[in-house]
Amino acid sequence: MKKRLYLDTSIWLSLAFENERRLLVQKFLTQKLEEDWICISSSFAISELVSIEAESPKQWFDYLELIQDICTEILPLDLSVFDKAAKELLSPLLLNQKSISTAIHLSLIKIGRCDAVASLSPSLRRLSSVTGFDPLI
Amino acid sequence: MFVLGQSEMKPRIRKDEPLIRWNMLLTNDEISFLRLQSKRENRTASDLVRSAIERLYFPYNRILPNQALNRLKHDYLNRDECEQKLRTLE
Repeated sequence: MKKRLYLDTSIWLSLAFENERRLLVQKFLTQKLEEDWICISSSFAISELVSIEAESPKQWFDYLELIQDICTEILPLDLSVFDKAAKELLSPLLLNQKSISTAIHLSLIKIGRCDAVASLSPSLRRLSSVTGFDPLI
Repeated sequence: MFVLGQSEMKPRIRKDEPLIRWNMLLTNDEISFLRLQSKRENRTASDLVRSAIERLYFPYNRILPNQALNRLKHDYLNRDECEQKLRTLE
């Protein structure tokens, strides 16, 4: 069975423009696909890109299409995710260690039954109960 | 790409449908091969069968994402704003 790799907002930010980081993330994802992983992301991860200015409406449309092609599944966002994330935030062991955004990603990783997360955020990788990959290493 | 339905991974079987497991369809030689291969790959035989089916019947699960990764060209979003947001994550 294919293993499920959750891609957070940082991955989409890294792929959004030409630079060394994009090449490293591309190489990492290609390698994971070769190893029988599938990419999973979320409407929440994509929604975090909305505040960033697109080069043009056409570029935004193209990028959205690319994200959909890279991912086998896009996890939807509904109120139950926020509810689960709020409980994550209140967990006594991890209190004050995570942002709301991180808590939402952590909840989505669990809801989406993901086997690992790829992120440039050290806190998301550390706090996740699944394996955390840093694509830049 | 499809949007997640929580039940998509579970096999759907009608109540009155007789259960046929994949290993009931295999010859002894095929079962021996799977046992050996699962030891070599350190995965369950069921996982090996699922992977083989996925590779055979759903190759686009890998082809489409690879093609999309290769299609990435030029800038899509404002790079300064992306860098700024990335710095808050790193």
